[in-house]
Amino acid sequence: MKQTFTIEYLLEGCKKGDRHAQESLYRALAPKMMGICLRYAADRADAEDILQTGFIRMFQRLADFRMEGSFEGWVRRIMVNTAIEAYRKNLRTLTAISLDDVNEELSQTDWNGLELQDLLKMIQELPNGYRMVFNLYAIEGYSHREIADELGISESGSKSQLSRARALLKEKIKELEEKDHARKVR
Amino acid sequence: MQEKLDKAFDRSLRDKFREFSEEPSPAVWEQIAVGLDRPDRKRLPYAWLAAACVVIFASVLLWPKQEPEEMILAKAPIINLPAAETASAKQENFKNPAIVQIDKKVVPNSVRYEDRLDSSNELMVVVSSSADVPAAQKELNLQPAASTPVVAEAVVASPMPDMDIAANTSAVMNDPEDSADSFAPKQKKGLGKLVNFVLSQVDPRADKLIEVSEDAGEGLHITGLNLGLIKLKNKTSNK
Repeated sequence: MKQTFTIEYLLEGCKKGDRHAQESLYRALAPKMMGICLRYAADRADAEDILQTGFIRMFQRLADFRMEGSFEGWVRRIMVNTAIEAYRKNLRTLTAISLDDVNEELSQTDWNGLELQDLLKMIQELPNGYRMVFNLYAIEGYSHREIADELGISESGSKSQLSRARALLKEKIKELEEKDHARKVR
Repeated sequence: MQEKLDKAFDRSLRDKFREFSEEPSPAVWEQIAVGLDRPDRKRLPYAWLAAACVVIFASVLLWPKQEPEEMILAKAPIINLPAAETASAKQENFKNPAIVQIDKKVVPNSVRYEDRLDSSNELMVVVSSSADVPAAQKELNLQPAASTPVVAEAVVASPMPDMDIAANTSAVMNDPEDSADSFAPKQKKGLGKLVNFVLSQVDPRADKLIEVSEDAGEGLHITGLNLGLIKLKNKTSNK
């Protein structure tokens, strides 16, 4: 309850353009939002660009936020939409990669020990389109229809990019596990 | 089976990243603060733009009533050109002499100028000269095609400045003794049709943003308004 009150108090200040309130709100939300941006970006610099654009947009649209839903969820959607926009702007630089089909299945338990940072790096290393589709579908819970609309691709394109993204991630996880295992044995 | 494994894979990653957070570099907040000081250019005040358009239209419509025509004419520079020069001056006014057709007919000592904007958009200008030299009546048939002269375009396309241009043109082209009176009502009538014409170009709806009709003696009246939710229509004008 206390936290809700604090957010509402900060929001009132932000709507009046109070810079201290804006900074406090930023400090409260930035780390979590940075975590989201990092998943959508190829590197840290790109993630910070998305974060910056997203926060400016959020402050400018604060009057549109109805106090009904979750404020964090609202900000999160702004970040994801900013990431989608950044992806669409940079669509020309999208590089296609050749991909060997990965049919081997991973055991469900083994890779749970991997560090979050390793997993993040794998997601960041995915081709831009795969990374977008994987994040939107697997983590954000968008449907293929929604992804197709947002990214300007077909539904079947979204499905195939998702399965390729999964296959690439599984392959990378497997490689990492093998390295990890070899190090332990030595 | 494959689908189940995929879902499990997605869920594991989703769970891992649920609480993932990382501190951004301090420069990000500084950039945000700079960005917040700049005005948001993407958000235009559409309501105000709409209001401004209405005000501009209203001022165009009300202007002739507030300011007597004599004053408009008195403000405009009156130039009397000798007959020989008049024709060439006309041509220069239109900036595109290639499309001006001149038929010479001799009409001594008469000055006539008609500016007619009828439903077919044909702008007809009849110019004759007044002077000692046997004057020639020149008919300038201007079709509203791609090459329509600048003056005619101004009359058709822009409601604001056309008052000025039309008033000035009339004063320049007319002998002040003659047709200032006979010209004025036509000018007004033309304006009413002009406003309706411009709106018909901009507004595809059956009921335009503003509809105007003109009374013989009293000038322009707004006979219809269509602001989306608010529609006003003067029924007497619906004949």
